[in-house]
Amino acid sequence: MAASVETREQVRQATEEYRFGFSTDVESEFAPLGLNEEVIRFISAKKNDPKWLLDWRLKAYGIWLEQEEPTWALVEYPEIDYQGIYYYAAPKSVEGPDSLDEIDPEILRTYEKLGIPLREQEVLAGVKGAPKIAVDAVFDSVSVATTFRKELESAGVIFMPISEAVQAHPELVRKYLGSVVPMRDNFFATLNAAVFSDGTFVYIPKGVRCPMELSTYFRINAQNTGQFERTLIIAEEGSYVSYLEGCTAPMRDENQLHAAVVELIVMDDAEIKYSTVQNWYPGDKNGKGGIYNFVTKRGLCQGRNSKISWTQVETGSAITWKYPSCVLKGENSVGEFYSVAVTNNFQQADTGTKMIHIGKGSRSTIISKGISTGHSSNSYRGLVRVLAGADNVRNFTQCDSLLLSDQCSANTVPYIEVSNPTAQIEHEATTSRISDDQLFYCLQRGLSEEDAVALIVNGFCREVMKQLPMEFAVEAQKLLGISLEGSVG
Amino acid sequence: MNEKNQILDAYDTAFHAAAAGLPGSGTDWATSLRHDAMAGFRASGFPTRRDEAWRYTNLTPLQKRPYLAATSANEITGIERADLPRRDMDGARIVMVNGRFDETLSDLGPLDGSLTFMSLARALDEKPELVEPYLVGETGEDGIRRLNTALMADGSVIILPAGARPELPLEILYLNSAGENAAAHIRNLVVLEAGASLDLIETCRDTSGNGSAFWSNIVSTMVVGEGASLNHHQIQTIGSEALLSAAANVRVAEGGHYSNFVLTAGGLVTRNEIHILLQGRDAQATLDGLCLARAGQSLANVTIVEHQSPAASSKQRYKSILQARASAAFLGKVVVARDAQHSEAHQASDSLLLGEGATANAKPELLIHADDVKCSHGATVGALDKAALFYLNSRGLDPAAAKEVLVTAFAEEILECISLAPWRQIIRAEIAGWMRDGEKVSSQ
Repeated sequence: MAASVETREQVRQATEEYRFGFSTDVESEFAPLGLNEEVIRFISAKKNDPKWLLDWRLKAYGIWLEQEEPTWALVEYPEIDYQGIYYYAAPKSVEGPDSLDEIDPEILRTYEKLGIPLREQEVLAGVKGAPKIAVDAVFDSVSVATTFRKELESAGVIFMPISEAVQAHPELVRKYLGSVVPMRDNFFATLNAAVFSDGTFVYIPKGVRCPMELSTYFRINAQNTGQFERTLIIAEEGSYVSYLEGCTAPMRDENQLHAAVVELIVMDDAEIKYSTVQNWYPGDKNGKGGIYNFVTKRGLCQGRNSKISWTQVETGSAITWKYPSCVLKGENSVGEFYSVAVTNNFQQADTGTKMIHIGKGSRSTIISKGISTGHSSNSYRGLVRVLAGADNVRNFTQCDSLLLSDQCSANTVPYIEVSNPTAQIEHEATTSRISDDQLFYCLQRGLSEEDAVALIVNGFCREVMKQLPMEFAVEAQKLLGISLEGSVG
Repeated sequence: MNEKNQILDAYDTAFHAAAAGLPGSGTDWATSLRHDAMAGFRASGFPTRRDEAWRYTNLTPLQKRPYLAATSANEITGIERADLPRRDMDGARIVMVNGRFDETLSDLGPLDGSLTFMSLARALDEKPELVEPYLVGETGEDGIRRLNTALMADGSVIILPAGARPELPLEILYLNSAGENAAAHIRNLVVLEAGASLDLIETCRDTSGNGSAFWSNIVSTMVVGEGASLNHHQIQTIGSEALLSAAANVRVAEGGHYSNFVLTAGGLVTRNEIHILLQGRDAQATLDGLCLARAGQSLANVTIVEHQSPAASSKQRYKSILQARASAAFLGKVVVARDAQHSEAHQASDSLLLGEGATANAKPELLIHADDVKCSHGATVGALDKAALFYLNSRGLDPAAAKEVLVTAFAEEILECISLAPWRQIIRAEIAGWMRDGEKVSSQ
């Protein structure tokens, strides 16, 4: 009950639709418009890439030119003009800031407005006993600040922008970059390989439990800019890390492209918990503007007893095309996928997961909750594949869809491919609207219709929400309320 | 690429050689329909695994060599009445040998007086206006159906007037006796006018015993009128080298009910596809299927159910039992249109894997564009429950008997919903036979 009151207040506070829709006036430096080898060399030079990385980018570009944009997802959008995008935009004053004082105060204010603390002392001055979270802030194409690095370093954890990691730890980056998502994996991943400009690199050494939550905050600010970040997280034997990712963008009339790649590698007995609250600008009520979120996320459970857990709350973006996946190669490895996807107005989401069972005794769980309203379309697309050598695999999948308007669509497209007789695979899915009985019960107890719907929706999503780290769970619940604003009655 | 073109050329050549002799050649619309379909086939070729709906269908045999229509030249011998499978039910029987209606083997005596039956070949030649509304423009959605339209040589036209409800079931029996790599392209038309009701049985069997590589390509159009009820049963036990593609397009009007039960227990490749349009309020579709797959076989059930009108309902239940190195697939799609409120759609697919190298694939898909609906699907894949096996062993059943009890129980759930009682017994006997053969094969 408390949650729904809070949600309502949040909705009231939120100055109508999208509360992160402001843009920041900073001087930016752009690559020339469009994409060609020169632009890639420009980005590479800006990042001071070693030769192998430039070659890698150029090879990816060559492959991308041959590839075709995928059309199988249940989303519709006008053709993207890949020559009408800036592939690199950086705030001018952040060429390697030594301290936060050198960062453009406008950018600091942006993150303050977003509620992301970049000053460690501010975090420390916060509520006593509040958990510390280290933040890497990515603004357009570059990382502007990374907090708590000293403390993490003393634990042996490497947490830095990937562009810095290329310089500081080239052997690690070179070994793992593209090892889980090969450069020719798909159209958008290949594009990313050619033009990625920043992102986060995390390395957790053997036996280390990362002392705090790590977080990256992505912000697209500049106009006509694409964001192509790349995240690489390696968890060595027996280590653990919880990683959070958040994203916002200003309200702009044109569509902006975001094509990220995330790669996770988990060794024996290690675990990565990866949580996302995706709140890119979804476009306005009439479907104008918004982010095209075409993301490739994949984790490799390389070691025995390794574990990857993806949790995502997807409320933003005009179009979402995203399938965080697990390659369960290690014996007894575990993959989890918990997802809430909300679409309103003219948003379209085609999202889900892939669980590829290669290792004996590997297990996976998929819980997906889709909520659609307005004129939106919300699809779950998932694959569970058990290879012939993978004995004693278990999978449980549950996909539920809730429809809140008569003009929206909810689709479920699961693929189940089992080639080992010892597998035990269960899949179930339901699609329905809020039952009149449930609504009536809440109303006759004195709740307004809006509160009743919020309550029921929160209950519908509870299984996923409880997987989120505490701070995120609160934010995500509020977001849910805001996203569904105006969908009742 | 070259091989593919050679194969398409072979079909093209065979078509042009045979076109003048195909039924309906004296009718303009029929001739142009065939030519359009052939041109379409020539352009598209056969589907491939890259085509989403064909993802789990093994099309390698069709891509390796042409299967040309059976002609008198490659038909081995005539089949005697005594060779026909035993009848366990009363009712009329239509017999198609190598894709052509065989009047002497058929048993049309018990045909209900209200029912119109005519072979497609005769209808095309003598009464083209009877089938024209159902065929014109229907070249087919994919290469296999286009080839069927171009080459259809015969089939059954069955028309039941309003209110007619024959008591006895009607059986269509398909037999193949032609040589290697022969094919039959059969086109059926079943029309039930308002309030009519029919039990229709389609049986595909291999009588030659030589297990030759014969391709049966059957396409059916079925129209279920207002309040009509078509109870469609299919039993498919073809030889281990034979191919079968059976596709049905079904339209169901207000208050109509189409139900289908299919037993698939043979063939190198068998694919059943049913595309149903529920076009009126309270239209219903009930689909049940059981696949029994042996090593090397690839069996698939593909369904598309479109709820185009409010308050229609559909229920699908498919089960597969797979021995070692067998493969079975279920691809089911339910589409609920924007205004089809109060739709109810349920889909279930369960697969039982009995041996190494068995592969079960499922893609139960829901595309829902209306909010006041109840839709669900469930899919499971697994082996026999070890605890249940142990329990039966501990009660004195030997492992083989225990396995048989559990497999039978798994299948029984789907047999319970067969309304035609004698038919249920026939299916049970088929399953028992299949299991015993399977034991023999695995103990060899």
